[in-house]
Amino acid sequence: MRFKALFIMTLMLPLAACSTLPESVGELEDARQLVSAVDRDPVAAEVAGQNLTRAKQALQRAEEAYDEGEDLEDIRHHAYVAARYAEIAQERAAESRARTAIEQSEATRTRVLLQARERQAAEARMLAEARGEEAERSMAEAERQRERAEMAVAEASRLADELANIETELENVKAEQTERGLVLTLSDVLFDTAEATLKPGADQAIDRLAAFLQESPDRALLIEGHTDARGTEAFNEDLSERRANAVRDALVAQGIDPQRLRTVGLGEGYPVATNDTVAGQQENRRVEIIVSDAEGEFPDSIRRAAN
Amino acid sequence: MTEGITFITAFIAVALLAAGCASSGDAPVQQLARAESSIDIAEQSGAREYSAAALDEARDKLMVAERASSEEDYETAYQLATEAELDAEFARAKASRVKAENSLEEIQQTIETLRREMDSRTVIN
Repeated sequence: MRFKALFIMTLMLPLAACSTLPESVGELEDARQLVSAVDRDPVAAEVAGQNLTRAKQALQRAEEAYDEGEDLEDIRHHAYVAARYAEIAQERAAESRARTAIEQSEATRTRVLLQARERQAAEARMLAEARGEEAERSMAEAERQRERAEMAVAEASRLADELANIETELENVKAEQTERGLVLTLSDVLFDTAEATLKPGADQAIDRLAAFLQESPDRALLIEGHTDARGTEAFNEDLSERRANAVRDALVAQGIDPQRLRTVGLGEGYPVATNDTVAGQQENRRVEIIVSDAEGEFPDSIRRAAN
Repeated sequence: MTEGITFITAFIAVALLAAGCASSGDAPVQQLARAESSIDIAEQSGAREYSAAALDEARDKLMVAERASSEEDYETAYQLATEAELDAEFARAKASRVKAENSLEEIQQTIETLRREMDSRTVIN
């Protein structure tokens, strides 16, 4: 310290002659502010400690040069050097902060990307599940349709069996599968000659038919009366209609809803055999009973319109 | 003993100061070379693009320093070469900082875009 004081005093002599100093030096003011600002930044001290030290040293020199009245250009130079070192430290600190933020952002980006992928996967999963459910639904629907079809087939087959049984069990009743559907034919012998009254032998057939209709509540009957070609057309039509009505009335008497029974008298127009022989004429005198489908409808192929 | 050293030191100091006023000694060849190399490094780090003003300042000062040196004003040459070196060093540090900040912004934008995409998808769902 003693050395320093002496040193300074020695310097004062020639310098006083060399220069005159202003009240303040702008560069020195700037350097002071900059250096003290950077000195307060812990990041600057951490990443640019050497620059900060040099800034302080240069500032110290500038202060000394100022205090000792050195050349103004020298003061300015040292202040400039101090300010630049401080600015370099400042830049390095800012860069370091940016790099720290980059690291954090990269972590965030990774996390967000992961979230996005997880969400995509979840969406894909949900979509797949929805599709799976839809597939299950349509499979179940297909299964139901298949069951319905099977039931319809079973029902049709049961109906055919039933009618076949009727045919087997009852004389004078014939059952056949035609293009118009299932047709039961009641023979002429079940009626009084040229009359529309059913003989007692027809009771069994009516009972079976009524039972069948009660077992198959969705089915309806179309009852067609037919005659041979003898007699007038008008008489034959009237007779055929009355016979059809007689069958209907017998069924209604058994408790069948008349709504399910349609009748028509078709006269001699639709023979099933020749009218030239007695046997053929007898075949033509008949009542045909057409069984509807399970919906109570008669097939489109039905030839004759009911009234 | 201490007084002897003090006297010698004081004498040397006076001699040095006299030399400073008169501007003498060797040309600051090393400092000029350092300034030039610092400028080269700064240019390679993209200072031309990100901190052109500081780089120009360094170049101008180096030019003046070289002229001063050739005129045997070594003190001025040394000081200006030193300032040129620091200007270039500052230009390099600034370019590096700006590049880092640009990268940061890019990543943040990527994140922002990703989040917006996710949000818009959430709205659709």
